[in-house]
Amino acid sequence: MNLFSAFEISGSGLSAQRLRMDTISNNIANVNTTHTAEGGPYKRLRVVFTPRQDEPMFLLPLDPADRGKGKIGEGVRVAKVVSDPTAPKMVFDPGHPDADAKGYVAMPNVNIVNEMVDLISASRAYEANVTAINAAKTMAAKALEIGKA
Amino acid sequence: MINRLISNDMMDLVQKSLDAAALQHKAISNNLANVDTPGFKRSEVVFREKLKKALDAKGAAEHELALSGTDSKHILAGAEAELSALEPEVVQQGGSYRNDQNNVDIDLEMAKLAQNTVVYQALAQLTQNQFAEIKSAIREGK
Repeated sequence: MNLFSAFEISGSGLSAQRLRMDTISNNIANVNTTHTAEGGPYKRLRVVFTPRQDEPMFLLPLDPADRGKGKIGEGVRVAKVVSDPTAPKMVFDPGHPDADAKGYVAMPNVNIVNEMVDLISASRAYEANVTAINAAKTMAAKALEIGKA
Repeated sequence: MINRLISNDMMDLVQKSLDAAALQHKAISNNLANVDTPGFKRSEVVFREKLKKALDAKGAAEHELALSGTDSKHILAGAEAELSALEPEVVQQGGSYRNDQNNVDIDLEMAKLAQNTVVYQALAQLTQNQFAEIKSAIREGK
């Protein structure tokens, strides 16, 4: 019933999508990084979203599908940021300092086209959340007018 | 007397509808926030259908003898009870046409968001007008 919790829900969507955009930007920035602290090329990162649900502890043993019944969730949260296990791209470049014995360099498994598509998707989802916040603002302002009569 | 002015049947229904619209907005916001969450199922608030049913039942029961409640401590029965016990219900929608088993359709949510905002504003305006009427009566129409 509380209109203000709608701001929090949309806010959680905003920060989740923002983190996704940051991750994508990081992937694009590291498209040619062949040298990392843990060794090997940079590995593409991706975020995993999960619904945020405020629920009492005694419900936790239940099936997640049953737990959410009859309730509205509390938005979204980023469960984890995982690195993509796809094998690196091997590029023949014998002059490269990171080249192996056969002259191949392991390049990051970042596909720039995929990243751009993800970026657009994240940006649109961000905009949708902004629209929801603006709608909540309009509604709250209208509700305030009730007292003004 | 002033209580009767401020809280009549219609005002109660408008307030309940306002609450339902606020809850619906929360549901839509949550659907939008989870547009990219794998396996998420959209939820929706069912209120208008229930309200219509309750109002129809009340209309049909108009000519019957009913228990009337003139005090909050009175036990209500029949259509009158159905109206006062009316609460919005949150339902989850199954099914999905997407690979990630998520069933949020952003176009549908945006349309519902726009509609719900207008409905909320209309209901708030209605409440505002009711208070303006009372005020006008207090001021003897001046």
